[in-house]
Amino acid sequence: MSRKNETTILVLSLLITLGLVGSGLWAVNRSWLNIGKIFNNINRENNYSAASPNQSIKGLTRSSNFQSVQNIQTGRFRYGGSTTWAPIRRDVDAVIKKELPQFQIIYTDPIGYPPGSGTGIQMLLQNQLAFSQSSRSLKESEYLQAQIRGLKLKEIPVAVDGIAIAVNPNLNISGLTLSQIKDIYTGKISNWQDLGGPNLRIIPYSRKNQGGTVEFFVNHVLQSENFGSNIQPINTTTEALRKLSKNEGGIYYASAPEVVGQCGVKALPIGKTFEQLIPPYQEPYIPSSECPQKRNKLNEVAFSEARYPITRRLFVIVKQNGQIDEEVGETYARLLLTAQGQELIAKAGFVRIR
Amino acid sequence: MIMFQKNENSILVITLLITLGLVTGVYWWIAHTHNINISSYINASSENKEQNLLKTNSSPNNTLDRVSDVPTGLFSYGGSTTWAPIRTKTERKIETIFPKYELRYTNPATGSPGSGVGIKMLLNNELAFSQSSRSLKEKEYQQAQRRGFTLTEIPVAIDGIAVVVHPNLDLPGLTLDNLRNIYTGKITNWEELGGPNLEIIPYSKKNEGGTVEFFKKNVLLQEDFSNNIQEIETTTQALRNVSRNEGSIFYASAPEIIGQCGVKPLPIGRVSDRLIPPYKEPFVSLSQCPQKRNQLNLKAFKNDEYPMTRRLFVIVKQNGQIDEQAGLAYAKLLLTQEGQKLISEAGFVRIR
Repeated sequence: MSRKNETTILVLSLLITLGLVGSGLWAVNRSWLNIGKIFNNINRENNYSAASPNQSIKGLTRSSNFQSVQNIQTGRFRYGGSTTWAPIRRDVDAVIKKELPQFQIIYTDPIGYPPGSGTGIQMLLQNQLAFSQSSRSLKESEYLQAQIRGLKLKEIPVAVDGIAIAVNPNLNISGLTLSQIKDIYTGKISNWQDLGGPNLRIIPYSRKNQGGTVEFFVNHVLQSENFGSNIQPINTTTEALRKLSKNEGGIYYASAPEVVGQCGVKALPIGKTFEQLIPPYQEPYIPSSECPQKRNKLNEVAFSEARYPITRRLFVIVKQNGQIDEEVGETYARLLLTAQGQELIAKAGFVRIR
Repeated sequence: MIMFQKNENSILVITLLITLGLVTGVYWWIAHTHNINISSYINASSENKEQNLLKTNSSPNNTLDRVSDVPTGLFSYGGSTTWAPIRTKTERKIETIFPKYELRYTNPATGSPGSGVGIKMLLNNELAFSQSSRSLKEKEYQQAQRRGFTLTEIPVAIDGIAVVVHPNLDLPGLTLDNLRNIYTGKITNWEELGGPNLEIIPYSKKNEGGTVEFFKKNVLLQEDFSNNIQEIETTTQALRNVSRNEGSIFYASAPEIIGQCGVKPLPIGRVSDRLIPPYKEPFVSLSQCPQKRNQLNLKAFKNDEYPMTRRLFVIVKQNGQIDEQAGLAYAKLLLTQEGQKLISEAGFVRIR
């Protein structure tokens, strides 16, 4: 009897022991897992836009629309920069402002200087903006300026854009190669006759240097050579398009969505070689005479496959200073990278990247 | 039976002890192996708390008294004259709620106060933190670095810069180019701008002011002031001069000058066909002043329609000492809903 009793007690107490140890382990494990989860979250938060592996993780879990994006900051936040981004501000930012009224973003022009990617970055460095929009990547001098200020600047790509070349609708020319464009803008070729066109002086227009598009064009098409002295500087794309529609010999370059659908100008096919000319518009070409009833549409496929030879990424520039400005910039980029944001970006005439 | 009972009891006690021992052992083992991670996580989060408080959103009912980590002591601060209306509005309130957080606005020993002088005093450790109407210069960042600390700007409000003239001057407004031409000396008579044949007398405060430096950088585009500029010490003095001399013009932070009876603020535009008044329309004629005063056009400052706006900053010295805490606490106070409300009552645009 007593033996039996003892055994029962022993078995019982062993079971209790095991139970206790088990539940203890379980409890510790549980809280530990939670901590682990927090860790993962932190790591992901810190890295998600810095490295590509995390980008893809983020890509899988990203929100589908503006409303489902978490941690939206409340306040009034100034942003600025690139004129190329104007269609995004019109078609995307306006929707963000409407759907997320607590996230009041205000496009802010520089005071005395013309707006553009470069002036936007300067305003960001001067702390006049929470984040900025850019059509070119940051320069080393800008990274240095940030470093002196004890902060870092980060580029988050959100779309791809093509640069289109436009001429007067009456100019009879089938297209241009990159080296011809370079020769025109560096002043080596000054008559359309040299390019198989009519005997007509070329009038090359360009915006002034603050623009990201101008800087990108100089770096990548002119290969950092200087503009020729025959360049006609203008302030805005609107002004350039007006001039182009009046002067038969004119030529101009700008972000494709600003140019391709315009009635008064003709966008030209461009190629690395003459055999590979790719139009920035969807074929068949709609002549000016049918515009504005019908307009040319962007050749998005050629932009996204990079068959069209002048494309680039558009960036949100975030100021990493540990303050709310940084979070606001991250949030803005996250919004643009939602399915809804990307759809609106495509509607604005740019190539979506997600 | 008794023996058995005893035996049973001892077995029970022993098993219980073993149980406890095992549980503690396992717990200790887990805690020990992961301890570093857990506690460092907790430490990191409490360290970040200070910074994060500037990040996280203030809840709608966030009041001054909710702010934590307000240090105890007497703290000297200084800087921008643009900030004067904010000091008036907030100082007493903060003092009442945090009687042990004593703030003392400190003027420079020589010369007139301003953003630049405030930063200089901060660098020389004469102040705990400073107020600025312009962002820091590269030179100032480098000076801080040499002294072994960093400076941070924390934006807390948006301000507009207004331009005033003599009440009798009849002019619809000025463009930014007009302003630049006046202050660099390219235009010297109001006639050239569609006004009367009258010599322009441009007033400006001396160069130490954040507003002056901001104006020079962003409106004059770094060109020098012409030598026909009349330099004056204070806004009060400038307003007195402008109200007496018909050809005069002056610029300053909008809240300091919009409601004044003796001068007339002008609409300003990027282009001449889009002039934006810094006051709410309709314009209150100065003959009705001071019974009725012009109010700030905060809406146009807010949405950047008015072309001359800027952020105002608390400049914090990050040296790991109590000064840093005092500066962070001040910024946090101003960024509460209550602080932002006071800022907007002072005539600035709230940013939260």
